[in-house]
Amino acid sequence: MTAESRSTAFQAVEKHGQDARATPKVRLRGVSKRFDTGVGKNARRFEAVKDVSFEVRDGEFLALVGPSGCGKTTILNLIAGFERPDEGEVFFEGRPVTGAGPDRLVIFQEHGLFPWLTVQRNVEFGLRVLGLDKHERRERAMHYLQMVHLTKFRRSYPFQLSGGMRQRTALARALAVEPQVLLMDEPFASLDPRTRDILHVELQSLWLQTHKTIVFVTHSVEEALRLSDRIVVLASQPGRVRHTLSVSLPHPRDFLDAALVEMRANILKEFEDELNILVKKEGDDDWRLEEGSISARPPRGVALGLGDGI
Amino acid sequence: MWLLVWETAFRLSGKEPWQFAPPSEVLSALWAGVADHTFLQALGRSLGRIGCGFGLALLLGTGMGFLLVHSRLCNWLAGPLVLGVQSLPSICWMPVAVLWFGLNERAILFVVLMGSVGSITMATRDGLRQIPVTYQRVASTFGASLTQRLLWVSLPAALPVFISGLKQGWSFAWRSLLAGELLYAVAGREGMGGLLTMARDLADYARMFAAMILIVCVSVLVDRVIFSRLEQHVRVRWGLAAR
Ligand SMILES: Nc1ncnc2c1ncn2[C@@H]1O[C@H](COP(=O)(O)OP(=O)(O)OP(=O)(O)O)[C@@H](O)[C@H]1O
Ligand SMILES: [Mg+2]
Repeated sequence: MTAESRSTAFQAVEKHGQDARATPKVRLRGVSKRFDTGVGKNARRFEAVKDVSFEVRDGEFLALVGPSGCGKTTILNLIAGFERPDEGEVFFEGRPVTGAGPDRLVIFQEHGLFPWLTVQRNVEFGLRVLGLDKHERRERAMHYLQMVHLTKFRRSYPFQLSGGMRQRTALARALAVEPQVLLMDEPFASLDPRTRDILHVELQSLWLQTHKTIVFVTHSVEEALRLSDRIVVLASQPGRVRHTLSVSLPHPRDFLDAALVEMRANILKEFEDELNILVKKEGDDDWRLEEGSISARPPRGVALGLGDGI
Repeated sequence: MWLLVWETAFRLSGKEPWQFAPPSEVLSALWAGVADHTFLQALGRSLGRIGCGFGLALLLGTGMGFLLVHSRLCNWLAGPLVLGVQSLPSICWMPVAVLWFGLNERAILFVVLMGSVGSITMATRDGLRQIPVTYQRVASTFGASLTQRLLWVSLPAALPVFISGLKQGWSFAWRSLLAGELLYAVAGREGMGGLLTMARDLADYARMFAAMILIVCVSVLVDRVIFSRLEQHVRVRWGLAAR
């Protein structure tokens, strides 16, 4: 990655320490995570994440981008406190993370709604855990359901909703407990581009309203560029930080932004070798992408003709 | 339709009515039994017994299932035992039951209990084991306590599998009950199984067949009206089946 290959809109971000306004919300220091894979004589330790360090500032929208299997979910699970690192440490507001809690709320890829509860009762789940009384619960649930435009469906069950509606319910459920940090694991990956576009717009306006700290995992460069302040690009095998770049464009943004389109092309040029690694790992050995075949394609937003600010 | 086949089979077989009752006689026996209340009384007694025995099995089985999942020691100690007990036909417990409790209601309850507690334990265990990790993680990220997690997440998440097991437990309980009553019919307090034995002893085959029909009808009815409906409702709600 040479300096010329980058567009002016993104620069390698300054070393941390220079930007010492406050303690970072989340900080990873030299974090490694290994998993045992295989059984019997095939058993071995697999290094999913190796020596990862980065931080997330208060109120920042940070995207974790990388090919499939590079350890994005693992990193998010470590921040959430679902898993412990084998080496290094994870800090939340300066204190080591010891377990999961509602201050770092996770939104899962498959929404994780409880199918036996109605939309409203799902949103109230976290509030019940907090011990709020019925009246307060209802009021808060309605407030956040309004925010995601789902009050009409408050009595429906998850199986009656579309994928996008489920994801919005999950968002409302998370926001209802008013967490300081939202950890989102490819929340829109299984949605159609149209619905995803709508949710991008909603999420941006939500973030502009509340200025929560968001860590957003995605394997889509477009999505990361559109939503985030800063992007941590991960490399795989083992999962590690490849580089960090900031996206200093005003919000809300659109896929069609000329600057975004240009940045995307540049990132993909640098990514191509990375994507080849993924292909080798998750497919046959002789499967290889043709040189330039990915970065040459137009951005998805353009190809689908997604409109402005829907 | 089946009645016609039955009637024809009877005529073709050339057997005497006391060997193989024709439907006409069976139906009239059924009617007579219902009319003089002996059938309904017996049915009432049987249902009372199964209600008690099955209720007890429900409490015990659910508790044991929880222990198997949440305590490794219990699983190691009792896991194979439950499996073994379940493979034993429950009527094998009858001699033991008579030895411990004497020939009375409690012996029959014990047999019903032993017949169904295994499936309920297994159902609870399997139901709890198949809960997706995501649900557990949702509970943790919202900071749910152990009891909250158990009551609000584990229990409902385990329900579909649990109900299927319940259905199986019910059919085992019903069989155990009949076997128990059949072997140890107590005069004056006989249930449906006792009714069968008495009819056989009196060589009243029409009445015997009538009792069998009633038994089948009741078990089908209970399955259809209670368990299958419950199962279907839960499966739809939980997003596991189409409406
Ligand atoms: N519990 C586990 N046991 C064994 N290996 C695991 C486990 N969890 C993750 N891995 C491995 O660690 C690597 C990173 O997994 P992870 O789920 O973090 O990737 P990811 O970047 O989230 O991928 P995707 O984009 O496909 O979701 C993968 O190769 C995966 O096979
Ligand atoms: Mg993942």
